[in-house]
Amino acid sequence: MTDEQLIERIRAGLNDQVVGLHPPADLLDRLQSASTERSRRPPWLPAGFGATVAMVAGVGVVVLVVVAIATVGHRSSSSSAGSSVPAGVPPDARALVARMAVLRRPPRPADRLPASVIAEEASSGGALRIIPGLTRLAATVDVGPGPLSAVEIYVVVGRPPGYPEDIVTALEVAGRHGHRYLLYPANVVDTETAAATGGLAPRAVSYNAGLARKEWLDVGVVPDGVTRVRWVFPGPGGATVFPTVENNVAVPRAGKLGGLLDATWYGSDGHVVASYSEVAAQQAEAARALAASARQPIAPALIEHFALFHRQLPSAAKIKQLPYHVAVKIAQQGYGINVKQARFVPYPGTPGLWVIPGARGVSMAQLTGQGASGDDVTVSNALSGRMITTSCCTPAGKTVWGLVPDGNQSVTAVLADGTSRPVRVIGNVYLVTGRVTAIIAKDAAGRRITIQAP
Amino acid sequence: MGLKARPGVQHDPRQQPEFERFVADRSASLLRTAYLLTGERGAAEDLLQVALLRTANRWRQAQQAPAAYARRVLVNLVRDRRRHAARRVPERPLEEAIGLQLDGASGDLAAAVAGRNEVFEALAGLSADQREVLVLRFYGDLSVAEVAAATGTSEGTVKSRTSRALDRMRELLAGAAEPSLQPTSVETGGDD
Repeated sequence: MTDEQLIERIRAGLNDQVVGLHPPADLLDRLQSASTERSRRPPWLPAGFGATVAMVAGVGVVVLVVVAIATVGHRSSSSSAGSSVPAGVPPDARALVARMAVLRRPPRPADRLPASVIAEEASSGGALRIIPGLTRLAATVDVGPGPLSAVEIYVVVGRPPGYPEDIVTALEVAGRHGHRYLLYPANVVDTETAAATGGLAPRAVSYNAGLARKEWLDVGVVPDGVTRVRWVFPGPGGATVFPTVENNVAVPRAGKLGGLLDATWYGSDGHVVASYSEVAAQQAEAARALAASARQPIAPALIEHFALFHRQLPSAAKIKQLPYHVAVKIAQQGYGINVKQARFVPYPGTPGLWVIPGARGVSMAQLTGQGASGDDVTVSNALSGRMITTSCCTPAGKTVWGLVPDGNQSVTAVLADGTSRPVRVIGNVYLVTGRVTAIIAKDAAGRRITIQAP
Repeated sequence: MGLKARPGVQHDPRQQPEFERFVADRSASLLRTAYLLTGERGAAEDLLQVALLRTANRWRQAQQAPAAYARRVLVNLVRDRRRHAARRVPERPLEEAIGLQLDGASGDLAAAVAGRNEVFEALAGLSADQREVLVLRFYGDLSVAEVAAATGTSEGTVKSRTSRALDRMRELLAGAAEPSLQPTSVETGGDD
């Protein structure tokens, strides 16, 4: 092939490649809009474009439609005839498209995410792998004066890092045209919810604060058939909001909201399509954690070296005195703590201490009014006497308490003034109040150890 | 929800028609150039928009040769985008439906699609510099001097890059010819 033939082939190939490509029909509108958001306005842009825009738009739309029809007609059998779903979209994403009219409508130039937007996801900080053909500009929200006056809400389908399937979510984009950016990372629900619902769940509401007027912008995505949405946020008696539902997104007119407590989707006839309750969800999660905790074995080394765990059997009646929320918190820690095996130590001068063993560690708690303080450590740290914690503070100093293995009838507390004093051990537990700097005790092997006070 | 109408802007009526004519005449060419340089339609439209805005903002400076000015801006934007590629959203490759217009209904669609894609795919095998000069020279029909102006390089550099780009394209097209023309590689069922 001569150079001339090659060049001719390249020319033809490049021209064929782009012959159907035309500028967006609303290009002049976009430029006009963008220019208003820039501090340096170009001197030429008119207030209205009338016939020119209409002509450009008309020609552009006709050409794009013709080209799209021709292309769809020649696509492979994997394409959905008559559908705007791009070829190659996986089944999970197609299922979302089937449930959301905004994704089924033919894409418009404005539906594409601005190139400058990095679609980060909140929990991981990674980027969503967005399917380019499945982005839709669903709404533009006026949030008041300032550079972020218009927030564009895009409904997108993509896959967060580490997720097994595509989900649908909303991205809020703001900033000056040409420099638009993601206002906040996408707030994506957990993998379990995402796998079950594809992100189409009442719970999946993003909470975004810090707009120009210090308001919140909360956005939810809803499926077809949901015509009314009710959200309840924290506040005296709960702040109830009925956001506007349009183009499969729900956005309140304004608000100073917060974390979502309850969400309900209603159909056109008023029936409940789906609902979410933060309280109910937390209760369910707590119940799951407690049930899982009750199945945890106790590490043999703990039973061997701490008489507390083999001489004293847990009393069901006593365990019931461990406040529910404290038990849940302990159950949700690591180390496989078994709250059903909690031991109560009636240490003199205190409301009492709880020591709770587990498969991989041990936890201690001291009730303080409505709450509790405490700590948890691994089995090996417990064997070496390193379960030591403090409660703050009394006029006499802080309270230092901890767990030591068998063989310690007492421990020695070293005080800040250089003196020391013995501290009684009851049920493997010691407790001392004062300006304690260290505790001298013996580890499970009988070696003398010095543990610095926290 | 307050759906916000785009506000109008102040303007100088004396300069408006000139810029509008420029946009009407040149935006398609600029868009296609951007597409060939980036390989992505969405990015091309965004870059076109930014390039036109920057041209507008320097209209007094640009109006002597607005096409050359906008082209230079566009090339720089493509380079900026390439430099920041690592920060961009990863996207799944989806075939873009930019369409194919055949001369009448008698064209062989399969061959046309295959031929079109061969050149485009080969273009992706060039270095960014080579791709720039090839697109500007043979799609944009620019002279060596105009390409040099658009890319901010010397004419000698343009010539040498063009030569190397052609050599590389020859290799790539020769390598692609056999597999891409296999009948099974293209759907012909929709051919009419």
